[in-house]
Amino acid sequence: MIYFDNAATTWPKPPGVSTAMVRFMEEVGSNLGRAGHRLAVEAGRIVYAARQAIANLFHVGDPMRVVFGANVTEALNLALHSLLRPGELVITSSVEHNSVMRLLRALEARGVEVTVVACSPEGMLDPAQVEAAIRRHTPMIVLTHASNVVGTLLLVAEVGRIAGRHGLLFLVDAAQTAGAFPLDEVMLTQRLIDSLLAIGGVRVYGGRVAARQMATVSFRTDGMPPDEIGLRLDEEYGILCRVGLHCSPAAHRTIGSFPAGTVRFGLGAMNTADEVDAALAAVERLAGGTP
Amino acid sequence: MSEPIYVVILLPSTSHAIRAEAVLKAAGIPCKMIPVPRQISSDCGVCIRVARENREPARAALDAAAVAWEGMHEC
Repeated sequence: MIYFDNAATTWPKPPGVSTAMVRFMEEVGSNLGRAGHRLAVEAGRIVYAARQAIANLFHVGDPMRVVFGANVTEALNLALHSLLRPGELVITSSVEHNSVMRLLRALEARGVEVTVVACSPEGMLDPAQVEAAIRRHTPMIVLTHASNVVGTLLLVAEVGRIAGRHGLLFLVDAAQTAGAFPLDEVMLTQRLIDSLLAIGGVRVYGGRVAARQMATVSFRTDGMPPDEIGLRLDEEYGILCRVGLHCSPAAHRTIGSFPAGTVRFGLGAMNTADEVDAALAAVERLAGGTP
Repeated sequence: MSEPIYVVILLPSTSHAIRAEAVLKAAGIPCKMIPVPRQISSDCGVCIRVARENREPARAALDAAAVAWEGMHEC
């Protein structure tokens, strides 16, 4: 089995994750912040260590400013619902995941204005267009760090500086990027992009330069719709990927693959060159119509 | 009641208490994390206890590290 759905969630999890979960269940298991006994304190220490580790990862000076959520979608709900008011204008991009886009549409129904800055068909965002969209009643820019469909990195550092200059809040959806180290996967991603481009009848969406994006690659073949490719990759080749719209219809409109969507290979730190080559061979056979 | 020999430092959360403990240890000030004494606060959770003579050094170390603390009580 080859797992190429890392853009949805990574697998396998590093062994330290299950070890830590089991250790907590079996040896700690206590509420923190209430009782003062040793297990409650130990639970507090575990959470504090997580707080500190997250602060280090994101270069946050004060670990107390880390707020935990059950997942990124919940965290985005918390931020958007608590910070935006009717009559305000929020700015976002056209490659956002539905965990941002649907929230903004729901807020729109309650009187929040939404400006969606269009990205290029490669998924690139022009920061100058974001700045040009700022109005007097804009309190916030919300942006994904990378497209979950084509992996393109958005220039969040530059947009962050723009937000700072205008005194705006800047909300970054880092679901695709936080904790991922694209450098480790650049070589594999480039190999995948280059080889897909070389297969007749395959169209690759997004950029062509792995160093400028995450390890997520979207493509389509002439002869077969994405859902059939996905099913056959799973059943015949044991390759698990994700097909369709990836909860980001706006991104698919941006790159020109709406409504059928794409086949998405989301590589991760655990994937190997052999797996990429095996997947390429499978795609080549399916694209060539070989049974 | 006997002369107090300790000062307990109340903090806004368990995470703050753990951070305060790390800051005090780094400053070489002996301290112990204990449940909040009920005569001081009805809040749940833990606080930090230091020797009475370390009250001012502890205050200085916590303030220098920008650890928010809520109160210091002799006990």
